[in-house]
Parts: sequence; C-alpha cells; structure tokens
Amino acid sequence: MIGRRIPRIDGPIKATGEAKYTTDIYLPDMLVAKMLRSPLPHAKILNIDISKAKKIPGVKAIITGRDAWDIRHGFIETPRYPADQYCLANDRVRYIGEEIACVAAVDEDTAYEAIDAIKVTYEELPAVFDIFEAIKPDAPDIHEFRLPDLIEPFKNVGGRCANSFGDMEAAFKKAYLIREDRFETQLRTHCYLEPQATVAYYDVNGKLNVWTSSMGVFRKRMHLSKILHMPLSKIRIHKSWVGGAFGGKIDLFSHEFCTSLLSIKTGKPVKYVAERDEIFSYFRHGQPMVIDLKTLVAKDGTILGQIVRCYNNCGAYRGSGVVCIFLCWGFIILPYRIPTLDYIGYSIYTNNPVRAPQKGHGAPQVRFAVESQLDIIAEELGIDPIEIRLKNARQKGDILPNGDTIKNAGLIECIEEIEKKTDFRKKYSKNLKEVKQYKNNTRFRRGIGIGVSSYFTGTLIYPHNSAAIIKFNDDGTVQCYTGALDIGQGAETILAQIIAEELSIDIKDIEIIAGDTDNTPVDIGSWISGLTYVTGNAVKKASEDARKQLLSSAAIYLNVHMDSLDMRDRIIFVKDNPERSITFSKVLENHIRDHKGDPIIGKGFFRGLKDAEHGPSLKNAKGAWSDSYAFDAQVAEVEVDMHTGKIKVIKATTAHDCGFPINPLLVEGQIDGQVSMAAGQALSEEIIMEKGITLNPSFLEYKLPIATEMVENDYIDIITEEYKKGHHFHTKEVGEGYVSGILAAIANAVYNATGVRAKRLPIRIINNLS
Amino acid sequence: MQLPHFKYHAPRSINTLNALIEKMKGQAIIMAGGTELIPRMKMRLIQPENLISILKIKELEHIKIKKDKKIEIGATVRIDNLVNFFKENRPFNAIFQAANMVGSQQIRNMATIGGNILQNTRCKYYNRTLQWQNIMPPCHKRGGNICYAVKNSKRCFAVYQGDMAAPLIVLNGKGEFLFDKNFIQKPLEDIFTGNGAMPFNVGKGVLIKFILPQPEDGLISTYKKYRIRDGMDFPIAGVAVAIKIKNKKIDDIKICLIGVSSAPVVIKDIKDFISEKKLTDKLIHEISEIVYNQAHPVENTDGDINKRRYMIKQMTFEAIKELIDGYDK
Amino acid sequence: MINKGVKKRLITLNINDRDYHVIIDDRDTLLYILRDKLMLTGTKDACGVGECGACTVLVDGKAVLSCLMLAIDGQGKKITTVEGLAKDGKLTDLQKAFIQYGAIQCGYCTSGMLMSVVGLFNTNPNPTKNDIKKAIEGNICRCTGYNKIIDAIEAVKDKRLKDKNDR
Repeated sequence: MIGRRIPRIDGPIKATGEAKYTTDIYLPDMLVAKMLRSPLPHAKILNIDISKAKKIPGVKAIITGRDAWDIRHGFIETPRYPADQYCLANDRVRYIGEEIACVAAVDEDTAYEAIDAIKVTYEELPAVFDIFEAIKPDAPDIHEFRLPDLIEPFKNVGGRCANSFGDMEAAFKKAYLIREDRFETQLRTHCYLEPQATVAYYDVNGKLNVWTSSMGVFRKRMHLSKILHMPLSKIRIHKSWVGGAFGGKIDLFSHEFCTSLLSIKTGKPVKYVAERDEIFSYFRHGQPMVIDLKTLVAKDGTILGQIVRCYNNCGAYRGSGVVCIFLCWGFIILPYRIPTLDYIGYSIYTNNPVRAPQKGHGAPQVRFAVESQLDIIAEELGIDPIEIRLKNARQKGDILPNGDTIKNAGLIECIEEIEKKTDFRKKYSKNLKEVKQYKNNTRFRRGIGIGVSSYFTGTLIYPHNSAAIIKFNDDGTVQCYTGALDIGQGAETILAQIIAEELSIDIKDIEIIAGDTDNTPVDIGSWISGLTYVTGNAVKKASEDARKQLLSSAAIYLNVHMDSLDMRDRIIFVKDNPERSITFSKVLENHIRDHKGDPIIGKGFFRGLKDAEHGPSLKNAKGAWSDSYAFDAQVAEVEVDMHTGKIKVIKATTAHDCGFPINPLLVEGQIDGQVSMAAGQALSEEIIMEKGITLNPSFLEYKLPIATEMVENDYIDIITEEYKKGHHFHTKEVGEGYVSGILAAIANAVYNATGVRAKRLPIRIINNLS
Repeated sequence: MQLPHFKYHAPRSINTLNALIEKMKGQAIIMAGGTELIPRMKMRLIQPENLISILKIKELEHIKIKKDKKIEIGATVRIDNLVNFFKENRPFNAIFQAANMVGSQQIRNMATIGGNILQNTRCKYYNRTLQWQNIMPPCHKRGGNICYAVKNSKRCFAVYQGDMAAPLIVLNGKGEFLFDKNFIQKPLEDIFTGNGAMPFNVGKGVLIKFILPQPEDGLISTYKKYRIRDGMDFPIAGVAVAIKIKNKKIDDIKICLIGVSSAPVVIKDIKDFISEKKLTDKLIHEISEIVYNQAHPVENTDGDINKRRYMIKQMTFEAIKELIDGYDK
Repeated sequence: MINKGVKKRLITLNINDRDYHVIIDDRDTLLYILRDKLMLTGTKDACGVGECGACTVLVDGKAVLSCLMLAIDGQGKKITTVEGLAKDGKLTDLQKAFIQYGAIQCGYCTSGMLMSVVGLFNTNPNPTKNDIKKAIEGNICRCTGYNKIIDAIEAVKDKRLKDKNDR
C-alpha cells in the first residue's frame, strides 16, 4: 500500500458533487452576513452610525469594533511581536477593505442594504504604500509599535530578523568575484477556487458550531476561543471539504469571528461567503519582496559568503510577514553551503492589505534571487550552472548554522540526474553561444535553465503535535480518528495508505474520520509542510499500537509467540503455517471477552523537533527549525517568441528528494500544481495595486494559468529514505518546495534563450523584441 | 452575488418585441446570451426595471445564405455556431478566427453575435463591483466627471473589446436595426460613437441581424488577437484584415483594429497607399507602420500600452504576410 | 429590500431527468436555484461572473455557465448537473478516469470541469489535445496544473474510441 499510485479515497464524493464544502452548508433559518469595509487606506474612525441600518426589516444584528472587546489577534503572537489586528476595526483603519462592521440579515439584498445604510465618519490620515517610502523618517506612522532593538533609522518596521555567522572580512579577502544585485518579486495571490467561507451556529446548549474553509481546525479553534472569550470546549470546528488554500486560509479571518459573534447574538446560523473580488482586493495575498543580494565567490565558484537584505511589504498588519523574513533566512542557508552570512530581513508596514503564507512562503522570492545570481556568477567565472550548483550543494551530515543536521540529502543526485535526463549542459551551452553571437535570427528561441531549492518538513508552531486513534469495528474493519484536514493534497488518502500498510489490510477496510475538533485528536493542520511527516507518524504509531495489541492477543488464542505471527486482509496467521489463523473479528471478540470489555484501540502521537522546547527564534533565527529537509533540482525549457515576447514553458523537469514517496501519484499532483503556480508567477501573475486599490480583482484580470498554458512535466524520484515498518520515518516535504526551483529555472531559461536577465517578476520582454 | 430585481419579458416574435419596447418607453434593456450584461448587472453598473430576453425569437437565431449569396446572421446566433459555420471558409476566415477565440467554450456556447458586437466598452476602473465603486468617486462612464485611466481627461476612454466587430467590419458587414417598426441597415463601422461612456449610436434601435455581402473573387481575410493568456481573455489588441487579390496584386484592403480604442478603428488611407505597389515584405512593413500610427491604446485593460501598440504592428504584418503567402497554396 | 413587491413565478425546470417545480424571482440565476433552492450543491459558485467555470452545467447537452444564465431561461430545456452524471449509483467512465488519473485534488473545480468535458465529447468524440485544452480553457484549476486532468480526458477518449472500434 505504501509507495503505490493509489487513487485518492475522496475521489468518488468529489467526482459526483457529493462532497460538502463550507460553501455548501445550508442550515435552516440561516442568515446571510456581509461586511462593511473601509474605503480609505488610512483613517481615524470618528463615528459609526448603525441606527438607520438597524431599522431595516430583515436585519437581525449588526456588529462593529465596539462589540469585539479589546482583543487583537495575529498570525503569531509573541512578546516581541504582540498581536496587532482587531477583528473589526476599532478606532482606526489601515488599509482599503479593512473590516468595519458586519451585518446579519435574512437575505443578501437586505444585508447589502444595511451595509449601505451604515454611516461612518472618518478623519483621513496620510497613507504610504511603498516599502522604501514607508521606512523614511517623514513617513506616516501606521502603528505605534516600535521594535525595541531596531538599530536602523527606519520607520514602520513590523519585524526584523537578523543572523550572521562566519568571518566576513576573511571572505572578502579571499573572494575572487563579488556580485551584487537587487531582485524584486511581485505581489501574487493564492487563487483557491473555493471562496473564503464560514458558517457559524451557536446552538441552544451554548455550543458554537463552525464550518470554515481552512487549513487546520485546531488552530482556528484556538484563535476563535481567544478572540470570543469562550472556552475551547464550547467551540466545535466541524469538518468540511476545503476547495484549495495554498497558504491563504490559515490565519484567523474577520468573517470567522463575525459570523460566530452574529450567531451568538441572534441564535441563528450565520453564513458568510466572500465575493471573488473581495478576495482579490482585501484578503491576504503572498508577500512581495525586494532582495539585495551580495555574493562572494572563489574562482572555482565556491560560495564564500553572502550579504542579504530582504525587504518584505507585509501590509497594514504583521500577518505572517515576520515569519516570512525568518524563512527567507532559511532559504538562504539551504540548499547551498554558506560559510559566512550577514542576513537582515525587514518586514515593513504599509497601508496595503495584510499578507499570508503562500506556497513556498519566502522560498520563491529567495530562490529566484539566489539562483538567478548564481547563473550570472557562473557565466562570469566561465563555469556551467550544473557545476557551480554541485560545488555548493548541501550534503548528508551537514550541520546548519542553527544546529539542525541534514539527516539525508539527495541534492547532488537530483542535480546529476536532472542534468542527464534533460541533456542540460549541451543544450545550455549551445543556446548561450547562439544568443551571444547573435547568430540566432530565428523567431522562436529555446532556452534551458536550472533552479535548486530545499524545504523544511514541519516546525513547531501551535498546535505542535498530531495524535491519532485507531479503532476497530466488530468485523475487523478500521476507523481512524485524526484531526488532519484534507485541503486537496490527499491527506486522508496518505493516512489510509499508512494504516493499510501497518495493518496489512485493504484500503477499502479503512475509514478516516478527520478534521473535527470535537471528535478527533489534535492535529498540526495542513500547513508548514508537516502533515505527512507529523500526522503520518502519529497514524503510523497508532496503527503499530493496534497491530501489537492484535498480535499479542492472537498469540494467546493461537498458542504461539507473537513474533511468529503475521497478518493480512484482517486475518492473523502463523508465518510458518498460514493455515493456523484467526480473523481480526474473532481476536476482537475474544479480547473483549477476556479483558473485561476492553476493545482494541490503537493510540499514537508525534511531534517534530521532539527535543526542542519551541520553534526557532524569529528575531535571530537561532534554535532548531526542522527535523528534515527535502531537496530538489528543477529544469525548465522555454520557448520565446522574439516577435511577440511570449514566453512558453515547453517542459519542466523535477528531480526531487522528498524522502519516501508514499503515493507517487499524489506527489506528481503536488509537483504539477506547483510548477503551474510557478509558471504563473514567472510569466503572468501579479496583483496590480494603485494607492491601496486592487485594479485586477478577478480571474479574468489576474493572469493565473489556464489550461492552454499547461506545462508538460517530467519527474525524477531520488529516494534517500526507505520506508521501514515499525520505525518512524522521514517522509519529507512535498507540498511547497517545488514552486521555487522551477521559478528560478524559468527565469534562467529565458536568459539562456534571449540574453534577457529578469530581475523583477513577472518576466517581461518588451524592449528586446526583434 | 445575486442580480438586482427586474421584470423579465421574453417575446416570441419581432412584432411582440416591438410592442414591448414601445410599452416600456425606454425603461427596458435587451438581453441575448447575457454573458456581458449579467456580470455588469451583478456589479450594479446597470439596474434595468425591465429585461427583455430575445432568445425566444426564433427568427433571430439562424444563419442563412440568401439567393444572392449574401449571408444573413441572426442577432442571437451563438458564437459557437459561427465557429462551426465559418470553419474552412476562406473568404470569411477572419470570422472563424475571431469567433474561435472569444472567451471560453462556455462563453462561446452562450454568447451571441449580436451581444458580442453590442458589448459595452470596458475599463479596469469601470467593470467593478459596488463595493469598489464606493472607494472611488464615479468616472465619466459611471456618471461622474473623472477619468482614472487618462488623468485629467474630459471624456471616457473605455476600450471596445468585441472580437467579432473587427472581422465583420473588414468584410463590409451591415447591421439591420429595428427602429419603431422600420428596418434600417447600417454599415457596422457606423454604429460606434467612439465615446467610451456611450459607445453606440443606435439609439432605441434593436439589432436584428447582420448581412455580409457576397464574397468577391480573391477575397481572403484573417484575424489576429493579442491577449496575455492563450484563452479566455479579451483582446487587448486585435487586427482583422481583408484583402482582395487580383492579378497577384492587392486590389483592395481593409484593416480594422479593436481593443485599442473606444470603438473599432478602421484604418484610413490604406487602399490609396498600396495601389499598384508590388507585394514585398517592405510594403507590408510600411502598411504595418501606417496601422501602428493609428492605434492609440490607453492604460485601461491588461498589459502594457506600448506592448499593445507594438503588437498591432506585429500582428498586422503577420496577418497580411500570412494571407498573401497562403493565397497561392 | 424584502417584500419589495417582487412578483414570484412558478416554473418547471427539468434537471437530471427530473422535473422540479420552483418558485423563483425573475432575477434568479440558474446557479442560485440549483444551490440555494434545490440543494444541488455539486455545482459550485466560485466567482459569479463567468470567469472560472466552476458553475458549468449542461443545457441541452452544451456546457454553459449557470451563474450567467437566468433560471427562467432554463424552462423547457434539459439541464444536467454533476449530480446527474452517475447512473444507478455507478460512476461514468469519465468520473472514474478523473479519480484514477489524479485529476482531482481539492475538487472544487471538478464538477464544472467534468461538465465541460461531457459537453466536449457531445460534439467531438475525437478531440485533439488542443481541442481538450480549448474545451476547458474556461475552467480554472489551481491544484493540478491541468496535467492530470488532460491525461484523464485523453484516456477516456482513447478508451471510448477503442470500444467503438471493437464493437
């Protein structure tokens, strides 16, 4: 069952339309919620008058910042980075679209009518949108917050992460070449197809029932409990299927709080579904970044040191911006050996909407910069892109500057194999020569490029662990209780495969009961790239526990030692004499009879970084970060139409070391999606904003790839980790590591084809058309 | 997002349609496929009291080749039907090309030729929801007196992006309109005002059908479309070219642009320019240059304006070259 | 806005070979009636303005966007939604192929995608890869990059053509 291309178990319900997503939840007497948003990028709220709106027939409740107590929330909440955002604006708004009031009414028309009837008086304040404007001494203050240890004369710094090691002076002395470039990545967004949606129902027993399109139910419950002043036991997040997230649904959102509070106030179910243009305009996007990158290399291409400054435009509140600048540090020290580093990342407040993680969370930005620059350096040194990467690649046993050990690394193999498979060196040098000598007069030019990246496999952030329970039905079929939430990646399928493997049963005999805070044990959630590793191991241990109990019980009835037993298809038998056997069903029946009613229940739990007290420091990047790191090398082959500037990715090849691929079909699916997202980022996607207003808030205008832009994919598995029954195992990250190498590879391939070096995304070839 | 309330009418004949329009006294809007109108209604850019669907009028949904070889295309013929009808039709290839690149397959199944031609002009500052509209004071097209696309402009520059207009115009198509029980034919290029805020000058006229003249010998045509993605998107520059070849020379040429102005741009002075000149790449480049000089896109839709303008030149060259190179084959 | 004197109508819609009698407002879209009135929530609402394809249904065999179609215009037509594909509890070859080839991830585009493909096969039993891409150009999928969706469609095409030739 492990390592096989099993079709996903939620396939049938999704193929028939039976799967219920949050948007599909309809409860009797349900109210519709709509949001009043700030039309100004920065203003004091002087007064909110809801008196007229309240009187409209059909309006059941209206809430404003006054109803929201004085509690703020944040993506992270630490003493250094206290929560900085209200669920509904209190006395001030800081971006266009910030939530001011929420209405619950009997229907959409009435809710909108009430929204229009609310009168807000503002005192407009000066606003700033650009990071380099925002840090100037005369910039408006977006928050009163000041970082105590900020040494730079910058304003509006929401977070700073600094880390340095090695002897930079010596590196400068040794350096043969010093290269300095500025790279910029655009504002992009997730484009999950299911809109942000929440249904909240505060029932007569005082329980708040919530269905919400999210990435992890326990994290949402924690946030809601805090912000609503309610005990955790009084909030239940129900499972609903999730129509895509890509990082954009992990934070607490205003509408989750509002629907909950409106339901408490009205005693009726309340539903909020965001309109698509609201999502594009006001919800959280990825993080646009400016990266100043200075790299010192020896003559042979060995990296001696790097000086890096990352400027992240985090929007009006901290969001995940401060995590992003920590992660950027991480994606600098991986996947190459960096002996000397001077890193500072800044997360800067501006009057833009808030930012969230998006697939890669810092990696696409950093890899685009580093991989592009590495190709520039290689060319200047007369080394090919493969060689310079092999020279610097991290290897098994490397110890990262924070003390983490690279337990296994297939990076060298990834680079070598991908070179062979794509005939990289030959194609690369041929194209380069043609471009240089201007011999290539053909309209369509081909180029090939490589990018390398590495990604962590889970870290510590609430909830830090996963647990699982395996219970049996009388007939020996299995139910697994897990808090995991399948957001499309196939979590439930993977977990079922692990159980099937451990208990040697058919996947059809397993039911996964998942993602419900009342009915399942805690789970880290489908984010920080840790689910398969952390939850997978929890489920594995629960299965092992159940297996051990079954075997030890069966050993009694078969009168043999349990080591001589094996199991298959719900039957336990003696290895040497398979005729001597007993069914799960009979073992369970006997066990209950002989153990005072004890049914066999397997329990398992797991936590990454088991020896670490907490996750790494966001201030100085010290402390353990992750148990293991996945590596990949990706190659893009592009064709550029020199008459129109149209760039087409002809083929993408991904060589990946994701540990043990439990389901190669799902691994490929993850790669396909990431390559597509990267191609979009490289070539066409960008949220265009003008003074805080989004000018392309639709699927038509935000140019995410459609079917005609499909990229052909090829995959190379580099398996560095075996799956061992009875041992906990390092499946590694596969969900977001492959969006970065290929992004850089596309940029490098465009250079290879045309000689145009992209320093800003998306790549544009305008001035160089023939 | 729900639509605003309106009263729905669906006449089954042109006569009843006429009667209805009279009764409504201008308080009605006519809808065919709805693919352009419904999003604008959802955005509350229009909130008609009455909506008249013309989809049930059978006589509007046919394509006919008349005895005089003229082609009549009813106003509610779906774009997808045009794709099939004009497939492998050399003189009218531009119609096939354009129809085949309209929107998505679902849009082509729903949208009609009449709706495509009479689609409203678009602008990134106009096609926005009510919530967005509260943020910015109304522009010319929304009844105000500001233009966000062209700062300080006294008029609206919203861009016309109806793919089908370009080929129909270069093929000398006419539209037949119903004005108070009278049927009036107008050359298609004459129905546009050039004003982004009020793009059509057909008044209360109801579009009934299009008439394409019998193709003359040697007529060939094509359409090129520039958009960011190879599907779904509106044209941010489009070129239709019709050429009549006689004795290996261009006897007649008509070029029309869309996606670069508030109305289709019919290229002026082109026929005189080429008269009796030898067909060389140089000549085609010169034609493309003339076309380029008459294209003036503004920053109101996808893409970069310089690129859009450049693409007009590029596509014109390609279109003519392709037509001429392909002629003898 | 409520009880603003909007006149209701009783209409009959034939959906998945079953007649539904529904009370509607003139302004109701087919999508709204399917989801909010008939609880046929397989058809998804993801943008509301015809730009994502998630709400695709078949009307008289052709793929259309139910968010841009008035319910009242559905009268007298044969409407098919994703719920109408499987017959007698058995999935169609297309649904099975989507599952087998990994064409489904989060699943939110799946219903619309399937309906677009059924519409394609209704008019073209032997589509090229480009025909396939064109048929689903209006169906946005952010999870799969479209690769496995196109694999699945091609597999169904090949199988159907083979079965036809074998007959």
